[in-house]
Amino acid sequence: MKTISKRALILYAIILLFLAGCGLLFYNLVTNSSDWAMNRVNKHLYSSGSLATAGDVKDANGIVLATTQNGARAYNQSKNIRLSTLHTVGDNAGFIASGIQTSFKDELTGYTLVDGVYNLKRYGKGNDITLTINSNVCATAYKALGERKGTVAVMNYKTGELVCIVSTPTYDIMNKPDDILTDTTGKYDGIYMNRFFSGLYTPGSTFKVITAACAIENIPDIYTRTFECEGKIQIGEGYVICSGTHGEINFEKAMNKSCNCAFATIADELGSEKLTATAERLGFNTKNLIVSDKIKCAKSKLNLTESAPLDIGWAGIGQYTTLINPCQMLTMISAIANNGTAVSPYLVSEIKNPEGEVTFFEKTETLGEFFSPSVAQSLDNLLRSNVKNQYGDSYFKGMDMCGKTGTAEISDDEDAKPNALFVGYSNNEDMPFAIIVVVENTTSAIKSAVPIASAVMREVKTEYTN
Amino acid sequence: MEVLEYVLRYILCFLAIAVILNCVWSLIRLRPDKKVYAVLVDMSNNKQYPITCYEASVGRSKICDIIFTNSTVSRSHAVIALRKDGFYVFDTESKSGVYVNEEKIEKSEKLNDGDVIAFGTAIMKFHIGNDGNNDYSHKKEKKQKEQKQPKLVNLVDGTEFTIDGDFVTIGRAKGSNIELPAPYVSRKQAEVFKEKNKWYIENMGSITKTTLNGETVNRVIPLIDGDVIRIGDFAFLFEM
Amino acid sequence: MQTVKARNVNPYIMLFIITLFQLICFLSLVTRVDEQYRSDILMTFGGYLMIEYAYFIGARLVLGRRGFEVELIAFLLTSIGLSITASVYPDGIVKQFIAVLVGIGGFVVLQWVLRDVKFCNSMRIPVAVLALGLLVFTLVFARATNGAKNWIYIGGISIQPSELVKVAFIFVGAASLEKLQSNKSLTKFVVFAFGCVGALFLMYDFGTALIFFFTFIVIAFMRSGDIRTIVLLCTIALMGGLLVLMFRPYVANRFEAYGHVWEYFDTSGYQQTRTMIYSASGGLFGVGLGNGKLRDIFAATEDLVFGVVCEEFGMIMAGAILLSYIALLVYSIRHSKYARSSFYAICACAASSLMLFQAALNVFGVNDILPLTGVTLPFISRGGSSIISCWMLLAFIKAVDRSTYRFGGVRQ
Repeated sequence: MKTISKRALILYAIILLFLAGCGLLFYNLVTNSSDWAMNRVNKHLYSSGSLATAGDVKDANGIVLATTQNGARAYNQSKNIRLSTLHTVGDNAGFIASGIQTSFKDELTGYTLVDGVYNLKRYGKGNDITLTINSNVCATAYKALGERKGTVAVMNYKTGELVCIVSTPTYDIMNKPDDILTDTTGKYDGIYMNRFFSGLYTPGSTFKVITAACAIENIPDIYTRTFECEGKIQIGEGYVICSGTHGEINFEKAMNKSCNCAFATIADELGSEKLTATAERLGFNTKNLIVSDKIKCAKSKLNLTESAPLDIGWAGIGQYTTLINPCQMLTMISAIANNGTAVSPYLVSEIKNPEGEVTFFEKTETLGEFFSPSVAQSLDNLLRSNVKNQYGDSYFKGMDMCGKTGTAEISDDEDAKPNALFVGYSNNEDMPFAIIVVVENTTSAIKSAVPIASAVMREVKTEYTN
Repeated sequence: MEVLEYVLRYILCFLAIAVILNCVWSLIRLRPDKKVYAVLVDMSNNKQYPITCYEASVGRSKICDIIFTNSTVSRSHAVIALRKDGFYVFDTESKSGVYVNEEKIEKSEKLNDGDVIAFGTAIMKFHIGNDGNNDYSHKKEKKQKEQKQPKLVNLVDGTEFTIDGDFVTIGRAKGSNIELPAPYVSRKQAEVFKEKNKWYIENMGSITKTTLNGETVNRVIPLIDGDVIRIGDFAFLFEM
Repeated sequence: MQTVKARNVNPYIMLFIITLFQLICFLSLVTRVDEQYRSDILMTFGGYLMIEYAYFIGARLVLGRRGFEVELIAFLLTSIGLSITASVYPDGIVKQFIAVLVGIGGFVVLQWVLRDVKFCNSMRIPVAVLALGLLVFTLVFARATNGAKNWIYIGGISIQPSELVKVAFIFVGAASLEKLQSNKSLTKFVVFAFGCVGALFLMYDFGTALIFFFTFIVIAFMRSGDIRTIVLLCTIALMGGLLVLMFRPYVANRFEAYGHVWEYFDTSGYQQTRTMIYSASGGLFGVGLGNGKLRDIFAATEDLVFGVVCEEFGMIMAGAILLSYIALLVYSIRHSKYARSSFYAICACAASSLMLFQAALNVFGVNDILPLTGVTLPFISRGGSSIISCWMLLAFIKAVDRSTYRFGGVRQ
């Protein structure tokens, strides 16, 4: 019997293998449970491919943006609100990855590892999510953008609440066009992408804010310098072209006039290291912003390794290979408005379970000091001077608006239309809001982006001040 | 109804887990104790070879349960097996054969206590049980009986009380197994009882304390050999 | 009592808990199913409870047994299986219940048969002939169901002989020590085993063939300890398997989804992905009996039953079920030294490893850790032959414990 029982011991090896299998099985189940349960064929949550039962999505004023009615998803009655909030709310088939209905699917359906989808079964709906966005501001921004592609976003620079996010092109979720897949004209390009979170744009002159910040930090006599602008400037073996011929100008004027000659010279003097150091402190190359713990933004890029001086010059005025993410840019500009300290942007203000208890609410979190208060103040003065002296306060009456435009050349083609950008914020205590406007393939920023910013900021003013 | 269903899910899970974990825990720990069923005694040097399993292989090989190093013993020579009706020896194609009481066996032979078995030149006396001549099963029974009869020794006068059944009542009441004629003893003062092969004491008195090794008995306490039970002036030694 | 250190569980408390469990299952069933099936379900649950109590009272009071862990686990798992069957196929519950009754009957009878080693030894050859005959009969007369030709119909009852042959296979494979020692050759058993595995291959019942082959390896190793022969046999089997794959490429197609089922989402990975999705939906405590959605998928109560358990009873219970298969094998291994004969040691180890292996094929198959082979989950999957064979295998495990039997008038 001794031998038989010794031979039986080898069966422990089989038990170990089985245990290993069980370990793998439950590891997979537990780590992937929410992904698997959220699969579109799961009949607990979906009927014929679309999310059927989930909680409500509301805007900051409690206006319902998405809800469940009779086992199907229903959306706001106003077409403009539906169009303008499409990318924020998301669709019910998961095409818009950063949409709340996709990225917060667990919360909306009330899925938890402990109870599975049981809560959905029990209450017939999941948790309700209240967003920070204001649907009226969004609708206004959408109307201002019109048929043009681009994005508009407004953020409270003191708290980080995103009160407006609009991305175009968009479509009406209640009446989805059926030619999205077959279209060849390009009118639906990137329709499922939220350009604010996932877009990457050539910043054009808006990047001069960063170059200026780097200059203030690193060149002590920058304010007493003068620069010569003859319409173009030779750096190395090539030229940087300017938008005009500005003659002899100082730093502030160069900012107001957005003089490429001056800023290319400054960028060259700063060199790739200092410029990269400043940009990376602001999150370029290093950090994807995560909005409300779930939505991952694209990462801004500035690559100056082994770049020629001419390239550094172009990069200093926001061309070359430089790319910014609108959300990151808005966070940066908000930091200037907020005395140099950046706050983390967020979209979800609270989540309520079916019994009405608040299970989650988002608090303001700081991302640290982007600029020292004195540098922030200097930049603030420059940006204020831009609006006051260059774009005109008439666009932003009573807002003490600060800002910078950018017109980004995106192609070497002469006929190609540039992208227009505007970043700015109100210095008014009553309305601590920063804005970014990006309009693709349009005319100069002052003609396209600034009027949109003006319309949106006026709506913000009526919504948020008495 | 909804709430009921919600809660029942947890209860259902808890019930199943309770059963499965209890059984699994018991299954992976249960193991029979080792017993000596029979003994082979070498007639030449009185060396004892205990048989501790139902089927024991006998031979020269190391894999055998009982190993004889004599060269006349085959590598696997024989098997001694305890079957339903007693012990058998099987010759498993050995070269030199198996002899029981000097007779060569064909295939198998029933064994009786005291038989002499020869595996080649290894000559063994076969004893059922773990050493002596007693029948295995009989001895086992006797042993169990001995174990089961603890005593209570009165430490005052030295009298012994052997516990007959499964419990003993101690008290002032007439008809108690041990009567304690003192007014401060309750009518039912204490009870010594057996459960699952273990002995316990439980206090039932209200006026006087029952103590076990100096400590008050206020719940059921297991008893072991040598414990001293005191009730007032009375004292008993518990002997297993 | 034989056991030291560990104590047997109290069967009455456990039985009480199991009764509660079954009552809750029963209540949640009757509130849902069609009125016309209520009496069937009531009869099944009532009958099952009675059988349970009858078994325990009989074994405890008449036979004076102490250890009931093995049966308790089997009774609980069977009642989970019955609940799922009753909930998904209320019309088939009576049939399933009868199979359970036959299984428990087989369990009791086989325990009784196993009491005498001599008798068992003498029965091995007749059983072997019977088993092979049954398989050949199946091969000739079977009807093809779901691609496998392994069902026969006798008087309106369909049975799967390969399940019953599992029991015979182990019975034939085991032997007492004197037999093992006087005849060390495995030849006869190898011939028998390859006969069985070959027949199953011809039925296209590859899952069961694999189980038989695994069991064969376990028995062959326990009998001979000869690793070289076993490696040789494995190699031969592997080559045979490869030959099958070469000449029958559609067999290989069955495994194309293995390892990346999500890419074959709606084709050959359909069952696996659905199982995983709904297992995850259940969470740790499940959505409740009858609330699942996996049940609408083909073979939910057979091959995918683990997913149904995860979804409706929760992952914790699913984990506990897996643990109980392990415990049966550990128990068999630990008792093998003290068994009344090597016959029982081999039987128990083979039977419990068979169950563990079958559970592994089933559970890991639907979760894409192993290829999907379509075998049942012991005690839980619906299917009469399967449940009968599981209960009969349990008799082998029961027989390894020497305290199961009275012996020479004295309880061992």
